[in-house]
Amino acid sequence: MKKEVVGIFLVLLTWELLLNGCEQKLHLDLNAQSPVLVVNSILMADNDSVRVRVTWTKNVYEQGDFPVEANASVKLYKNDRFVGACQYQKEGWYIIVHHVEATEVYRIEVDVPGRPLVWGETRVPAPLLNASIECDSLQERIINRWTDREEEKNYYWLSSTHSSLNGVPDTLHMELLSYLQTNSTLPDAFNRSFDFDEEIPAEYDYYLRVEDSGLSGKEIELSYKGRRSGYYYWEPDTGCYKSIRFILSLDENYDRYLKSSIVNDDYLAAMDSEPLFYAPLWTYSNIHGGTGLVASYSKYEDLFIQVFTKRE
Amino acid sequence: MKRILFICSILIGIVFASFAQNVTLSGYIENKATGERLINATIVETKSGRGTSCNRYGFFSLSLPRGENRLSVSHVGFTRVESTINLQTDTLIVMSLMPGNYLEEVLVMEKKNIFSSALGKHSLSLDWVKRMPVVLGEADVLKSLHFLPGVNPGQEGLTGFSVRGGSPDNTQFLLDGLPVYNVNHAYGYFSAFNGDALQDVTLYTGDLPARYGGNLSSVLEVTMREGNRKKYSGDIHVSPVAGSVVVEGPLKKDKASFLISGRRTWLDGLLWMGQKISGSDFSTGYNFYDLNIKVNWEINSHNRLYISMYNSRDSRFATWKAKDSKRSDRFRFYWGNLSVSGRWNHLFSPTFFSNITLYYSQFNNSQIMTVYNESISQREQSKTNSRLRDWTLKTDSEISIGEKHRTRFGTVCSIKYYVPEMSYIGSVNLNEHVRDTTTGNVYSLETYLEDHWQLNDRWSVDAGVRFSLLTVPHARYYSLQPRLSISYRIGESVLFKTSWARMQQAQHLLMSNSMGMNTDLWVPVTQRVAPASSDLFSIDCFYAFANTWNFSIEGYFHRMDHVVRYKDGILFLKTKDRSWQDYVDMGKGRAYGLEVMAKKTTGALTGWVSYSWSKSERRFDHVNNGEWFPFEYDRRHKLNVTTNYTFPIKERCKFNKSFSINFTLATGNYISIGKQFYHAAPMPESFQTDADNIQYREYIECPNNFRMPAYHHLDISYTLDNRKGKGSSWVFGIYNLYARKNPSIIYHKQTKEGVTTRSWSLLPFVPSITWSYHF
Repeated sequence: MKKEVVGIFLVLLTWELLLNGCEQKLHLDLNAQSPVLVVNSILMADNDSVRVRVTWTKNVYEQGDFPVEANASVKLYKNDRFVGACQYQKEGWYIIVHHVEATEVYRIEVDVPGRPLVWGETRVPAPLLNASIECDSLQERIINRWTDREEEKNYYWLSSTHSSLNGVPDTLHMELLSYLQTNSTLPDAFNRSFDFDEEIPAEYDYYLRVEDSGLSGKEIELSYKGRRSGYYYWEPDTGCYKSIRFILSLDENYDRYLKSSIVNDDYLAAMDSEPLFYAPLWTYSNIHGGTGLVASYSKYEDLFIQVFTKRE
Repeated sequence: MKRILFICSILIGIVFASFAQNVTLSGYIENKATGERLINATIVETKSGRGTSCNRYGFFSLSLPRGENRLSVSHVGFTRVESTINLQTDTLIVMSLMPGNYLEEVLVMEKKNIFSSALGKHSLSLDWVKRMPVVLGEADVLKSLHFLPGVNPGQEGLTGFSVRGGSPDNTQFLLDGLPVYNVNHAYGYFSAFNGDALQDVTLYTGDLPARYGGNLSSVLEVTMREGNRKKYSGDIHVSPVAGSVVVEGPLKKDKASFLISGRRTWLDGLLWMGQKISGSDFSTGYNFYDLNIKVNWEINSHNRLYISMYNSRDSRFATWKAKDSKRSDRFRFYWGNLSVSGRWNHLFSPTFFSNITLYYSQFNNSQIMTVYNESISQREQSKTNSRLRDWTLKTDSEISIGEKHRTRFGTVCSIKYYVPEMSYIGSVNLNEHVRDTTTGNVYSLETYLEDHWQLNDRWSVDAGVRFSLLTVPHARYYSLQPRLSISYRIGESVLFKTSWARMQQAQHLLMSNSMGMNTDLWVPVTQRVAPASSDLFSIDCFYAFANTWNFSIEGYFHRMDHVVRYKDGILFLKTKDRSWQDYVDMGKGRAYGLEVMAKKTTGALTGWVSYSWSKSERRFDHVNNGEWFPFEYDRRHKLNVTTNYTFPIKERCKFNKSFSINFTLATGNYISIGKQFYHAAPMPESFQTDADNIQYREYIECPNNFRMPAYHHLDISYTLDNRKGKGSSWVFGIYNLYARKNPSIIYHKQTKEGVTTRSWSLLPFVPSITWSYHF
């Protein structure tokens, strides 16, 4: 009995002193932190408007919505030439009607009285070349084909959205696929996880990312299967099931932002359970004088509709 | 041309004429009790003050006038010997020093002759290291060095090691001349050097001689003991986390000896016991060991052979069994070093000493996960393995030319083979390598020449140059690395010194923020990733007062180029048929600082007080808009007090007693944390979807944007050292006496009440008892 007590004591002591340590609450003195202007605008090739959201950072302890900036002067430039001023709508949104052209360079400048100029710039990627999306006969495997543009650096992101499924398909509310399975070696592994229970070894969270290194000018074929979070086989009993499969070509800014965001999300989730083992990461921003993102992309997408009837 | 030849012939004549007045006394200084040769022992001719110190093989060479010379030979912890020798011709002798009695051994911590004092170089006595209070009683060489100015630790309790603004890989760790690539156990809680097997520890923080290369900041040279050549003896050492055994003795009396030292943790045993008691299906564990073997054989007075082996390994593992599963799943991470060397000392003449070393050193880091697939009744395995292998042949020679020059030269040829990361998946229908990145050999040829030139009693110059040629696939790199140091002495007690060292590092260590597993990845120089280089300038002043106190002030500026870091968003490499080179940024570093140290070297109370002011920054083109940002090891202020008090000896008492107090107060180091949140740009096509549920991001204006709270702790230890040759000794210690909660990490947590900030602190109030037995 004595030995057991000594043993337990030793184990507890080791864990307590070495591994568990002490967790305590801290309150950081953030009075010296002045708010920073946040500019977010994602341009899509061939869209007829540009939307810019201007907000402010807030102290980590502050509750409530992010403060919006309603008195900014927001200007749009194309290839260094002034296009026009964006008009304020509401909740920090500024909009200008303008047809976004691929391969052009757009700059958004935000001027808030009494503050230095804040700006970000993006070059809109060219449309996807020879793109097509098909399904196999079982409607399970999604086959994506396109040709890489030799003349520019491309960052391709692939995924699908589908009808939300709350008993019956909800065609108004779309969800992004949570897990994408592929046996292709083209996707970047940054969001990849291994799952030995699957026939296909590689599984990715939300998107497949393909960088065009070594693919210059080549025809690309990439197929994947998707599944929703928590469901291996999702088949509604009845109703119309809608899914949109897409291939995106992002500019470098959007690509870097997404990568850092997804890795960061993974780490924030992990930090909740094992804070000692993880540290927060810097999220990419290309905004000068503030933070946020001015980025762009072009898209190829296909809509798939399946109709299910109740089986006997 | 004739004029030049004439001048040269006159100079040569003068040099030889001066030699004719002198003869060379050379030889070895050794421990009389064990026959081991003594590193850094000093020999001085008392009348003229001419002197020198032994090299790492206990060899010295001294030019003295013909006739009678009065010599004083001394070494820390040994009784000083004075004798008169009548020199008529070049003479080779072996001098022996007896270990001092306890009082002298401990009271004289470091009694330096000004000839041997070198600013920018710190030598620690192993006896001192063993008395220092440390975490859980494991004598730790690296943690002891944290008390020196200019050496900054990383997070609390870990053996992070940054010297003068460099990163941990910018310090070269040499064990008997062999590079050691993983110097920590238990993620840095303990150093991989077993204090029981060591003889000497010297850290060069500035003024790096040309004989050292391949690093940007500093060199830590650790020398193992040679083993007792007179009799068999040993030590057993037990601390709360590990046990070690040292056995040594003569293979042939006075000719050859061996030393074997092994250490292993029993943390895994403690954890296993706890899990058995709790009856958990999930078992996890951790262990480490290290093993040192050294054999030396004195063939004759001119030749000696050494064979050394060092092996260390850390292992973390877990086994678990799913419900209704027939077999359990498991993972195992292990990493460690294996180094083997053979060295041959040869004395060509009394003034010409040479050493040839052939060594093999490797670092392995493997992660294996094995899962039992019920549906197919087979095991599937994924494996990641990174390796570094290093075969090197090097020669080091030193020659004394007259009384004014001591010249060293040498060559290093090496082949290094890197496998930065390779992943492998073995399953039913798949048996392939999914990653096999930049592998291959790096060939290097380096040569150096350095000279210590004693111009006169006041001035001396250390000048050297190191040339290196690196051949990697599709690229070659050449570099010339000059080293210069000028010293000016005033009397016997004041020394001014200024130095400049240009250095190059041909490999990089990629480290991630994650501590959950070892992600150290040694990567080579390639066509895309250039060697790192640095310039270290320093100005120093040293003052010895009343033979008791030493004061030093050192100022430095350290400029670094081509330092690397992972790009943002990359934590460690994963499986992908791409090179690690795609994942790193190259940039610049700079550091500057001032270091002040006051050291009391004699008396019952010995120790030092040191203070450093320093600043260290990094700059990368694609990070923080190309602006400088703080380096994570930057600590602006650092104060260290380390003392040891030796109690008067009582005849009846079985033990010699001493008491040590260490205190550290430092500015907190830097981490990255968001102090504000901002509204995030949406993910593509994810409006109104689950993937867009993160509506905000932490605003981190630049990496390492937050300085942690001040770091301080007080540690004490009480040592009972057995006065007899055999018997038990004890060290009782408390680390962090007043339980200061130094944060290791600070993070935000989303709770129902909103965001809260929390900190994790390790090692508050850690008592320990260490028992050792000498036989």
